Amino acid sequence: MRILLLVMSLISLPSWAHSDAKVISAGASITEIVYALQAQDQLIATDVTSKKWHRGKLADVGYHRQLTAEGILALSPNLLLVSKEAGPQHTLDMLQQAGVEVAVVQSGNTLADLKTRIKQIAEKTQHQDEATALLKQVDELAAQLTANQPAKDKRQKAIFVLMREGRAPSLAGADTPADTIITLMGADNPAAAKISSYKPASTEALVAMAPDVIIMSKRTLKQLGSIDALLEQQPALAATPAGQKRRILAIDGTSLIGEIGINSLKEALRLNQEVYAD
Amino acid sequence: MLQSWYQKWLGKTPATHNDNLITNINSTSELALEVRNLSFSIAEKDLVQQANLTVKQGQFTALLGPNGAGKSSLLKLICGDLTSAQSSQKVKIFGHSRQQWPARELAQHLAVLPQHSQLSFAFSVTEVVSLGALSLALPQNALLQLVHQSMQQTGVAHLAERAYPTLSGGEKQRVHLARVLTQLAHAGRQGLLLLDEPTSALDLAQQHKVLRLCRKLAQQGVAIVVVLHDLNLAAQYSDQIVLMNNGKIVASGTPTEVMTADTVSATYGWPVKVVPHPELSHPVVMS
Amino acid sequence: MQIKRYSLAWVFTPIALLLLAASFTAVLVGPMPMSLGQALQALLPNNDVAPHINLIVQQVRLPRVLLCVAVGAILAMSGTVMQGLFRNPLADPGIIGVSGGAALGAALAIVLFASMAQSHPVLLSLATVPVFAFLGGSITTFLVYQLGTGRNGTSVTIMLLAGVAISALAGAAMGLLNYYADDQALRDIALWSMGSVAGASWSSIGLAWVTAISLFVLFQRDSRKLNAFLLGEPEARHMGIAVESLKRRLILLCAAGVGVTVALCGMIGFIGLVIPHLGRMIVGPDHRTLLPLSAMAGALLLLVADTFARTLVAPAELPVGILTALAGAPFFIFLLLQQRGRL
Repeated sequence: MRILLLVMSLISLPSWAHSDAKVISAGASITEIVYALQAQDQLIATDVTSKKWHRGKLADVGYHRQLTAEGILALSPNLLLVSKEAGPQHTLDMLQQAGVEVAVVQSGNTLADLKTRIKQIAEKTQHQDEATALLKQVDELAAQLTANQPAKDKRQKAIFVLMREGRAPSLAGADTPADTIITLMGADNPAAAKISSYKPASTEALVAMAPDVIIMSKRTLKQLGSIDALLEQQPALAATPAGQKRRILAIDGTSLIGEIGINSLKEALRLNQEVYAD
Repeated sequence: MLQSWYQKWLGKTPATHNDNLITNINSTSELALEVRNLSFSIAEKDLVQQANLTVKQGQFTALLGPNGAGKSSLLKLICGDLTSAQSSQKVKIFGHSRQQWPARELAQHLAVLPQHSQLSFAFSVTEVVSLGALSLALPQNALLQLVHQSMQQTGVAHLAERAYPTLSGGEKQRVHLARVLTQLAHAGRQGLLLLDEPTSALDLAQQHKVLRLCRKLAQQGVAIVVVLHDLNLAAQYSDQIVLMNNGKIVASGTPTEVMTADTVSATYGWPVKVVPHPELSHPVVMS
Repeated sequence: MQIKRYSLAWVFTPIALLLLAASFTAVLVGPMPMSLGQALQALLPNNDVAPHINLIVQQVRLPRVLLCVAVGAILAMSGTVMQGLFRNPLADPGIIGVSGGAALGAALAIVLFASMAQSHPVLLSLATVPVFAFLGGSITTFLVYQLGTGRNGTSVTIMLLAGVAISALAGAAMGLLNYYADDQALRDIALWSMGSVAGASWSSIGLAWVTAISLFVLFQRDSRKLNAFLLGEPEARHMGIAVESLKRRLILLCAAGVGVTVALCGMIGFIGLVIPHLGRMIVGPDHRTLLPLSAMAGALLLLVADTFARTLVAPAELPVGILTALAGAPFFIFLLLQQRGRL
């Protein structure tokens, strides 16, 4: 028993060198940072929402709220990076018992949250040097966004619309990465005051919000073909100021998964430049 | 309050009115069935009015009457499918009301052959007949012997391993007859068998087979009460005929007493002639 | 058509052996590679196998096997009794509204406590979702039963219709909850409604086994009465059975049994529907043999389904409810085609 404890305490120390670190990242926003820190060599598996970065080359441990102890242990990782939402708890307990370090990374959609996340992940993966550069990049992006904030009377109203085949369009309310991006790009999200999370919206409510800009995911717009096709399918959108001025913008959908990340900032800046170009 | 609710949910009524439960069945009377002044109505409609009826041990009684006369209601009141506050008091089975009988003991003395049984599960004939022994607590060997005996009596022994749902109407009826025979196996002369239109789905020969079997049971001492439509079948097999109309018993007695041209014509609202059977002693109704 | 009944030894010996084999297989197989000897040794106390293998065998695989066996047996037995009680081979435990109600209870807990749990983690440790699921199932069953009960006793037909109506109501309430739920809660509800035995702990195993054994004993005591019940309610009454209390007792037991499984593992479909059918094809409708056979076959089906659920997409895993439905639905259609001429 004593030997067992000794072995476990040895394993749980984050004392491995870069080369033999085996990390599992459960959460799209965590995986993004791991890649941004160029620590992806340490990754052996990710959750299902992180596939975009490794294009299926790494093992998939499923949905981050349904992690399984045996599946993860079979990959013999020494570090599991998770968000606060990951679970179930008994799986995490069991992994810790088996000597896997479970690092719960800061959650949240603010810039401060993002920076804490970066620092935490850098420490766990021992990529502090890269973190310095990355944090600098975040600060630059943030500074640029702040500098680009329009004057109060010029602020535009923007909404994010989630379209799914055969269903009523959903609006992004408060507590969504989309809402954070809208705020960062210097626009107001009229839906945030009324709803939180993604909620189906009636056409009437959409028109009543009178958005100047409508943001949609790139994939949706691509599926529809063109803005004309969209307005034809959703005539209510055509009645909004955004529809009339055809200010319907596409955003990289992966910047909206999980919590805000570096890509979200870049997208916010790009949208900011598009909306306030003149 | 919680306790009474719990008992209600479990179906356990506190044992207050069970105090007078009979403990000694031997004290039962010669009368298999006694119905005194029984009335029953649903939604202001009188189904049975002031019915009086006695059936002796070994007596074969037929309930007759036009549709809606109340025959089936009367039978259901006797077997407990219909109940009212007073019905349980006014029906006495071997001298005791239904409430006084423990359910299991009553089942050993009173059996009911339904008009038709829908059984969508593929029991074998033997299994269906064995169900009759539920209240008997028999060891396996004795049970199988009894079941076999009952099946032989009703002529279904050769169907023993057949699936019940694949039988013809007549076969099904005889299987159920074997089942109720099994149920009454320990009744001796203290048995009462109720049959609700047992012949309705049967052809001529099958009708006679079933009724002849009932007749034989009556000879062994089992009291039979059967609802019939066919006046002549009733006349041929019954000791007692009870004629009903509009919920009332309009006549009762031997076939010869009840089946007069006047009574039958008046009850059914259709002129009939009654002649004696050329070979047997009972009357024959011709319409 | 002659009925051929296999002797009980011929039926129960193979299925008992299969169950045993499936249990061992389930302990031996999984995403974590280990040798047969290691796995077997890990089952013994004081072994010298690597700690991580001990952990996997003793705390992941073995608990799941034990939970599967009990839960599968409960679901199959409840299904058998429900089909007997409703005299309808298409009835399943969900028909009395217990599943719909339990789902609603669980969804309510997920949505309500998702936000609260952030600030009060105590709420989560109280296992609110299982408790709410159980309460939801019990309340709907009670409602359905009360709706079906009138002056002349309980009508199973009205209960059946009431079950459909109450389940629809619960479904609508779920829809409403979905509107208030955030994305996280939505996914949690979806996952929960597909069922999983991944949450096996020794306390849940204890609860499941106590329930399974109690149900088995209590059902078995009523099995002959249930046989008579198949002939029809009046017929059963004429055979000396206290029909009303029998119905009440069996409905209560089924609701409790299904409630416990739903609380422990979420919704696992098709076992309660398919297994009793299969059992009747083998030993006939006599509940004295059908119930133990169903219990074992249900345990076997869930065990096999869960072994696949754990291994098919490793290192992730599938909700076991999807696999029982995937295996159960085509089989059920096959049964229907077989019986089309006869029903």
